[in-house]
Amino acid sequence: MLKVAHTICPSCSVGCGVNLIIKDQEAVGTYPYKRHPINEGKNCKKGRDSYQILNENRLRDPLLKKGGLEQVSWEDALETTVSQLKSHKNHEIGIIASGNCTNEEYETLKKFAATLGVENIGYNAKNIPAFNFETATLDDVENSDFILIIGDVLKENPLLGRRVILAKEGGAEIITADFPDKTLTGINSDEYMQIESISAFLDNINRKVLETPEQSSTVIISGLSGEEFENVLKFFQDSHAKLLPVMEECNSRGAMNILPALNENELKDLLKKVKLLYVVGDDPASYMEESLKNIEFLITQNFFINETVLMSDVVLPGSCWAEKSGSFTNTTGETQKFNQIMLPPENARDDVTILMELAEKMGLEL
Amino acid sequence: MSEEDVKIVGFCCNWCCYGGADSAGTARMQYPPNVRILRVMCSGRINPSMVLKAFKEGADGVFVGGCHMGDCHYDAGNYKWNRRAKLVEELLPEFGIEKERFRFEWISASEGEKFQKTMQEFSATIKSIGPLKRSTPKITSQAKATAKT
Amino acid sequence: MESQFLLAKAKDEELAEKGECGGAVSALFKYLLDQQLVDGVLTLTRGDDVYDGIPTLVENSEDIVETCGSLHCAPTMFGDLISKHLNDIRLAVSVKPCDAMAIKELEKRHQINPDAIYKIGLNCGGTVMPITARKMIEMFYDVDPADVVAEEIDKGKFIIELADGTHKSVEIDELEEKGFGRRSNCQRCELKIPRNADLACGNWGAEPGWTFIEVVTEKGKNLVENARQNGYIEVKTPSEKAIAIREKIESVMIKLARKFQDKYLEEDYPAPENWDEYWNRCIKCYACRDVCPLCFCKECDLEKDFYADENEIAPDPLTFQGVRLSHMCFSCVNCGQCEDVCPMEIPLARIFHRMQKKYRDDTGFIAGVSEELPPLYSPEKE
Repeated sequence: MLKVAHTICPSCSVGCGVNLIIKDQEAVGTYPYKRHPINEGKNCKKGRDSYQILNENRLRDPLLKKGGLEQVSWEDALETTVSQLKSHKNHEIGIIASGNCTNEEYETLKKFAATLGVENIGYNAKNIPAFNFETATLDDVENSDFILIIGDVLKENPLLGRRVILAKEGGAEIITADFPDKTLTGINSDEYMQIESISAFLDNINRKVLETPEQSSTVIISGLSGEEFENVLKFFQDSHAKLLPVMEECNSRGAMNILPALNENELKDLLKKVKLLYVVGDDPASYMEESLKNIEFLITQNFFINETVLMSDVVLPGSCWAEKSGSFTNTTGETQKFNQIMLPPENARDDVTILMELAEKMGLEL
Repeated sequence: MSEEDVKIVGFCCNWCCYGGADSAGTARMQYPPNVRILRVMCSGRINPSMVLKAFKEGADGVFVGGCHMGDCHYDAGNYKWNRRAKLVEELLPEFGIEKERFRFEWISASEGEKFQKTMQEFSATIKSIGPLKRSTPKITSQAKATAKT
Repeated sequence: MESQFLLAKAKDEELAEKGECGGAVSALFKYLLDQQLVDGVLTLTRGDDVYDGIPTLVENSEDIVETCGSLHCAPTMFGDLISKHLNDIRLAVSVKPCDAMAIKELEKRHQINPDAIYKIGLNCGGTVMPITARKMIEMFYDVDPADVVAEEIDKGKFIIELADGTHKSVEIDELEEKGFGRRSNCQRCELKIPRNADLACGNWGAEPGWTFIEVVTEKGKNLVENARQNGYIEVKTPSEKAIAIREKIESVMIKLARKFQDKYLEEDYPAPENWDEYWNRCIKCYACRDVCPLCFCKECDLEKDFYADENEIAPDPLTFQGVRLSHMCFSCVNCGQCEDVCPMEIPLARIFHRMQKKYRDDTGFIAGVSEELPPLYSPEKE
């Protein structure tokens, strides 16, 4: 009736280990996972509260819009989904995922789309453009002699912040640049630069510090997106320093490796092109409600109720991370497996299983 | 801030020490104006957090006055406070606050003179150690950053 | 009651073989489950490897054998796990001294029902953080930590066993001098034999294949006697020499702990400036509060509006840690969990332990050991 089990925290992209306390099939708390190499049993508040995600606003049954959303059987929900998918041409179908799904789900989605011939697919990259180079590891951060931080990692990603603190205790020099007049990372750095714009900051930066070969340097980029992010990457990419961009969601990096990274404009463009939208995990209604009006048929696969779910024509209840097995790739590019440690509530199902069943009913072989 | 401007917060129990302050007042016994008195029903109402909060808010010294042992209006309130006061004495130095900045006494309603004398002494002590300078590295690194940019 | 000493081992062959020191503790658990004297046994099981200890509730006596063997790289805490999640069943639990101390304080505060719990104490020389253990095995033993199949602490050495049966050992002193070895609060811990449990079990003074048990309470005495009568364990009386050896080990370890207390809490104790630097990192995540086994209020003073730090990035240490210290320090059992879980590496256990020691010097109250509540809770005129 009481179980303490290992899992990976889904709250941010650092990929900390956390133990869930499960009592009578309900997550009731977290317990330090000290064996985990990333965080050694330390978790931030979000991480320690992550068990609540399993209990809040859960979807428990498939829903169909019949006027309002009504509870239906899986049979009915999948049948409607299949007939809608079939009655749309490939180019009229769009698929978007969030950065919170498992790598296995991205792979399945990718195959599903490819087999069906759907090209309008991607994940909500939260405006962080895709990149492809070896990033710094957490140990690199800790063993640095010099760290340049853009953003407030101590506050936003405390268990990455911890590595900065450990580096500082080991004698590293820490310089932070950010927009506010004061930040937590700033007050714990050797130097804090309040900046007005990224371009002005890059213009004035003395790159020499990053070119010293005998010194191991790391640049941590957090809280930036779009052009600013790209400019910073470009600026430091050919320097001697290792780079660590901090992603938004727990598996944004994994999604980036498998699916096209779509920024907000690209997502809006995608919605203009398609008539049927299949959403996995994401909440487009929260950032492009207007664009969703173009969509004739909206299918959502998610584990909890959000605005998009409420607008959907079909809702397929998926599983929350601890209810399924899979893997997340953290912001340093490390892929970590986790096992199913509890059952999804009532009629909710494993997400890969949902996609596979859908494929089968569509007559697709994945 | 000049030494004269030190701020002292005095928590006084309604039944004894506050009465003592009152006696001092009606008898026109002068005591330093740095002392700002907060009346509480009993010294047993005071917990260490209140003392800590006073220092956080900028007090340079904190005084707590209760009834003499055996005289507590609520029987044992001052005994309870006495035990907490010992903890406060141990705790403050851990945060770089000198023990001398915290004082507690038992003063009855009729002891206007003792109240006056205690306040004079305490105020003199606080003035001699000066205003409480709490180290704020937050400001230091801030100043450094501004200077560089 | 006055303590009694005995040697015990499991009668069940599998338990005797797989269990530590003759499997007496496992046999006692099996007896309690078989006789339905408890609904569950809370103990540690090995997770992914020897560095991974997971609290496990065993409800079926056949599963007890899975929990056999001790894990020194698992700095767990059972106190609040019981008070928060297992207060509705009759429980037996294997406790390190710090677990026993936390449970004792929680019993006094009516958070754990003493009548519903059997506390089987395990002597403890200290635990090692798992990642520290892995690093030191690489550095000092020149071994891939993944190749270690078992570890133990004996005669001042941390000993590892490899798959091929070879053993390698390094003096704990040497490890600790270089900043490895046991957690620093374990180094400072004076309670090596949990006399605050019902039984205190261990290998100190025991013959090979036997567990040395100090019977501390009537409840413990009845448990041992009934388990013996029902054929779960066999017992014999230890020799005077065995008792003396055990005492000697304990006193040496306590002496060493006091030396470490002087080192960590006085000589190398951070100066106020250093503390200011530590407090400056605080992200106010409440991990220290939430993990503290003794901090159990539903409504916490620390979250009150009147302590809110306006325009401050790190909380004011006076009204964050200061208030926490004023509530908890005198009850601190030096379990070290607050320090273990702090994402910002603030050495919290040091300030709490130092304050509890001062309180102990002033009042004689030893958290987790004294029978009564801290004098600060007393309503008396004294």
